[in-house]
Amino acid sequence: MITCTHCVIRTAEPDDAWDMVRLYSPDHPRAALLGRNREPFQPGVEEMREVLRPGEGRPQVFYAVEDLEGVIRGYCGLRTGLGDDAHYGEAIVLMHDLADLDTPLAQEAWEWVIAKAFRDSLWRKTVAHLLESETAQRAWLVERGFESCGVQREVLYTGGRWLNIETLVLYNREIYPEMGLEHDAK
Amino acid sequence: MRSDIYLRRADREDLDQIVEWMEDEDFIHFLYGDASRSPQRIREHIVAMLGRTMGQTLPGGIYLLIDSPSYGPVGMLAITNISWRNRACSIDTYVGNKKLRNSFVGGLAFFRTLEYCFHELNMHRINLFVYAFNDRSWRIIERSGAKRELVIKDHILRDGKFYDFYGYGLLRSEFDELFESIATRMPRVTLAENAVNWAKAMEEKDAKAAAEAETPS
Repeated sequence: MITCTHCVIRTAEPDDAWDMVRLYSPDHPRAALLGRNREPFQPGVEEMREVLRPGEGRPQVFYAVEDLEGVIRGYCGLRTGLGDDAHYGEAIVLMHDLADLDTPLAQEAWEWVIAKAFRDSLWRKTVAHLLESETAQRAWLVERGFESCGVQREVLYTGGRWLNIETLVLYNREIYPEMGLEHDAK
Repeated sequence: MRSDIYLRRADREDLDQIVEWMEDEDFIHFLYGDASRSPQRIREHIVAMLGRTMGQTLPGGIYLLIDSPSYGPVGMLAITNISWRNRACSIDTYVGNKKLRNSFVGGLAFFRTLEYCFHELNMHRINLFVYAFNDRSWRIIERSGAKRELVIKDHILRDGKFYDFYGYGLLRSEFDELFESIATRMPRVTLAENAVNWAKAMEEKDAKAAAEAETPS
């Protein structure tokens, strides 16, 4: 358990399943939670409990982010396995309420997760995928130095229309000192 | 040049041929795989792939052989990450027969693949991912009208060096446009037949470039 100034970060447990399924609301799809074929899915509590059950060889992906009162405000984590040899993966911070992105709580979660990626796991970069509807999340990532790699058109069909997915990347400045300088200059 | 290239399901009798292709260092270099995998492991992998395709009405992956009465087995096609909801998939084509690895066969196999995905599987979008150093492939892809949507710097590690990674997308409307333009310009000529003409032009262009390169200045 990591105790920060504004939040507590701990492994997500099977008992958090009831809370975590709220992230998968079909009204607000999130690219980070789409399946490999970019399809949304709505897990049941029991399914989610199974996903969160620790198992041998199963990597811990999600960590709960609690406020100091013990209320889960969101989740963070790293998704590896996208390319072990290339040393990169997905860094995820998802808050139930998007307004929480602008709080020190989300910032602390972010700092923890990115240190885990770049300093502990020595990733060269992290990637993030965003639906065009995720404007708040995008702005938040860009503020943290993410740069767009491009937009894939008409990837997900939901709510009666096609949505694009954008891929953003943040380079590890210790390995790529030249990357992100443009961002710093702003 | 013949245009009798077609796609078919792979059978158990094709196993040895596919293993040979997948063991080839070019396959690992341009697509994916692990050089340390034993032929036995590759064989198990292929059998599992073929098994997944059998008897499923909505499979998540389709693996086909590119064949030709004139040339014999040409290569293989993997249609993966199929989303029947989004009508999207990713495709990888591999020309295993090195003697046929030229713009004609590669291009024709690719066009056959597009026809199959859009006109048989009713896809809305096709994803194509290719490494920047595989310029032969991405040039063929771009000729189809696919748009380069993603460029990820230093994304893939090959022989100790990082290379860029390109993501292409081809929408149904873009494919239809291509198909229509071919039909208008060349009535009663199928897309695959047109690919033969296109491939001829590519070959001539390559031959000309090679001749120019050899000419001392």
